[in-house]
Amino acid sequence: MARVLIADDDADIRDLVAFKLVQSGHQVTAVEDGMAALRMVREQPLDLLLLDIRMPGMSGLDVCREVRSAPETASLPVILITARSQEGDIELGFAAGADDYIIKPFSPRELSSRVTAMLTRVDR
Amino acid sequence: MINTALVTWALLCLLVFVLMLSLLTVAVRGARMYRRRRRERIAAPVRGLLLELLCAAEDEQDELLGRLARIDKRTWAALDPTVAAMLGKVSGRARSALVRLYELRGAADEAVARLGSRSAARRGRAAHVLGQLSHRPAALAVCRLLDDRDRDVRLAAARALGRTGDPVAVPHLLRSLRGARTVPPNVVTAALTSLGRDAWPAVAAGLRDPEPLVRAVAIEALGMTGAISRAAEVARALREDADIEVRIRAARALGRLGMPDGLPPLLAAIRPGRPVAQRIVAAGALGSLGAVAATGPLTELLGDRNPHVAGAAARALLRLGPAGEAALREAADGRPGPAAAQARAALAEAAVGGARHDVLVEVAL
Amino acid sequence: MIAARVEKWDGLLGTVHGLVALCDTAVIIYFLAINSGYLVLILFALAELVRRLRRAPFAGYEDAAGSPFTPPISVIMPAYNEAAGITEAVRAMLLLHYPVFEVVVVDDGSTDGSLEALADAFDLAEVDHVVPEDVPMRGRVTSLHLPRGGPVPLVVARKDNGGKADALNVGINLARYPLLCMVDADCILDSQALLAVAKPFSDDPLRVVATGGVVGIANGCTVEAGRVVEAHIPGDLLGRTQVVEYLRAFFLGRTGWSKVGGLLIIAGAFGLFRRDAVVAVGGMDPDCIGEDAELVVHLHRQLRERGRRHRDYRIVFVTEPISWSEAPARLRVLGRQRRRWQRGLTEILLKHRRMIGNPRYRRIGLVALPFYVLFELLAPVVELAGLVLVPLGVLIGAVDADFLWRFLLAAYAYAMVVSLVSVAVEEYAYHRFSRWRDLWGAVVGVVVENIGYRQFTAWWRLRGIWDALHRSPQEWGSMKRSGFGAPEQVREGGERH
Repeated sequence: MARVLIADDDADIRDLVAFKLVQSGHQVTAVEDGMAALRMVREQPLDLLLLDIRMPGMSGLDVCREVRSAPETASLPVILITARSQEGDIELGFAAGADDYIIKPFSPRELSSRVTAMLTRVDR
Repeated sequence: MINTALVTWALLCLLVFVLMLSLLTVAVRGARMYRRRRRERIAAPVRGLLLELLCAAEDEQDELLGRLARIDKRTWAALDPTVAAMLGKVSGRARSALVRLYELRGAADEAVARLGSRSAARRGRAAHVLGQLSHRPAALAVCRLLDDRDRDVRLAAARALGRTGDPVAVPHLLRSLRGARTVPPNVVTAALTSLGRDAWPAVAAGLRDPEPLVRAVAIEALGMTGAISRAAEVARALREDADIEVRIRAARALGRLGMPDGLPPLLAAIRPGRPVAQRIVAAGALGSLGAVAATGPLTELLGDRNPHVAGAAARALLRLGPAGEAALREAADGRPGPAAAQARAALAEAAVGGARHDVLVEVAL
Repeated sequence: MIAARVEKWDGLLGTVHGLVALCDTAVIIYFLAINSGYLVLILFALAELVRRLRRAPFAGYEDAAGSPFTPPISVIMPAYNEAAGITEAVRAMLLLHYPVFEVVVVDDGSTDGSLEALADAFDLAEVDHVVPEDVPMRGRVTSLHLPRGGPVPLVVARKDNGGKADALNVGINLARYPLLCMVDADCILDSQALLAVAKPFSDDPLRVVATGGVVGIANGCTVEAGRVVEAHIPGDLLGRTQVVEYLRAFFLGRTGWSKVGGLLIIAGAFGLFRRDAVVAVGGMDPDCIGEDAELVVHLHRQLRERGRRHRDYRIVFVTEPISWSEAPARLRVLGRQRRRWQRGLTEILLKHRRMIGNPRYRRIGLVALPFYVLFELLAPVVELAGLVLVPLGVLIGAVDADFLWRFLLAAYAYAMVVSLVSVAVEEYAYHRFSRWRDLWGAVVGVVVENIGYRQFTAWWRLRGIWDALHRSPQEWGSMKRSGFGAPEQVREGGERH
């Protein structure tokens, strides 16, 4: 069981991701913007972050950069969620320190396996 | 002069209006909030079921589908907006589950029936739904809407046809480019492109159409879908077509196709005296082609009178690898002038890693 | 002898009497006409909104966001001494939802370290450059900067100071995409804004040459990291009044004009243009203070004059997206802003006076321009003349006092109805202001706008007309900014909307 945080402004996506990950046996916290995500990261121990890139207010990229810059969270795995069309986002995401990305529209199963893969990689 | 009684009367009327408008605004807001809450309340119990369906393994899907297909009309109406939204947000098995759910609920048949509705908004929506469901059997029925009297409906039909995946729509889509009731070329191109390689034979037939716009769109779609088997025909269009728009599309498509057939006509297309827009696109296409043979002719363009042509040539050279780069360096160190400046600008961009490869093109399409 | 003089005096008094009465009647008719004009526009706008809302489900927004055929955009952002907010603004701009776009920042010789701030934030490197001269430029481009190693689609140019229009012209020359979006550095865009303003170009690529978007007032809104996350109507009277004014004049008024094909002004804070059309008219006119509005009039003029093939064009106002900018929170700043707007309008109408009433320019010449002359240009003159003449009329007995106060009440009630219709239409169509408190704020704004606010702005607008006629020197609108940093904060601006 891992503690996962999902930040997305779209309630449907948030619910779906949370549902799938709970189903896979993780403990999930869902927030709807970058500010809230950053607060959570600072307040409670987490094992993985799922961040939508384009959120109103603070973007997923900004959150990712902040997470990487603080020593206590620098090694936290981050997966970004991006829209299919925004090609540059993937490069920008890796530049900001993300570990992986998921493209919308996505398949819930694929999401779950990526999360699992990421967590096992970190464990090793 | 207007008399006082009339003014008094008007004043009273206006005050009543002020009051009514205020009440109306409040009522509109109240009703909207009530409807939203009601919808959420009704949908809440089945929302979990929907999420379960989206996350279910194959063998569990049928049972969940059955349960969702049986929910009553009122609940379905409340859940429908979420289902429709989810359709665009998930892929893979989750998406096909939603499509099956819609079909079990009879949404596709209902949409087909609505294609003939008298309300334009309904027709458009029906076409849109059929596209979302990739409902292939309805392709021909949707084709008829390409000639709809309402512009927005025609657009919706063209977009939907791209998603139904049935190449039977191709001739209809190409025909919708001309006449009094048209669909814009970029929408048609997008639809043809998403039909993919199945559409190639029918799209290639458009290369011989008397209407330049049809030829241009056909060429663009072939380029976008990587129809390398048609490269020779596209190359001929660049050499021989009388219409500038068609030649520009052909040049761009040849760059995308990346076949050696493209090289001679592209080299011819960048010569001085040809239309500027064509030269710019052709220079960019030579860059995508990456043929070292283009180095010499592109280097000559660095000093071109038109700075956009010269800039496009410089950036194309960057993409030719070591040969192109060497040519740029030579030009940059050579006689000071426009050519050297263009070469230096391109090299500097490449050095910081931010080369602006895209070339400026403005065409009427 | 004395009798004759008295008689003459009486005759004179009678003439004055009649004249004042006549003027008062004219003022009254004018007042009715201007409000009826707006009411008609709002009804057109309503029809358009109903249509758009009904068709929104199949308008294909999700297609546009993911399609390789969505035309790429160059966003041009001129900046002059904006160090406080420029980094935040550029970062927000780079995160807009749109498949392919670039941001071209033109630093118009800032002296406050704007460029250094950008260079720091985006790791910029100076590169050799060639600037094509598609439209004339006055200030020389001294350096060009690109972000190192990254895929960040940003270009920063530094040039010698030459004014906003000149900075825009440099941006136009540097832009490499077919659509140009001109934005102010202090304006906040919604993340879908580019998709929405570009939509008409994909739907009707052969005809659309320009689109404009709605500009809202950022005062009172919650702003986070360069996005408006929650729209509110500000708490102060001046803010509320301006929100209502923007709703009526800029949101619904322009939607109405767009519907009848007579859109004359696109907000300088947020407009999208075909690059080739802008190049064809020679870019922005650096001698015009309202260069954004001038561009649109110029486009109309040129496209109408340029033969039959081009006559069928469209300039569209997009109702969906919104860009937000800070409205003046102090009277003096507001006054200066209105003075500058009115000056711009006067200059444009003078420059293109040949078009006014000219049937060659169809609706633009016969309807839109005369409307602007009558109800925008002359409004402050008539407003102030009314303020003097109507009391004078009562004083010398030319107008019946009882009739007058009733009429005044009726006239104000009419103006209120017009504004309230705007509020109701907004609530029906987009309901951006989510709190009940905001509705009340709007109603207060409606009342205040007609009592005091209009008269105040009329005075400043009159001075704007004076400036235009006497050609006093122009400047980069003097603005005070503090940047977007903290949420919920107010800055003062003064751009054209």
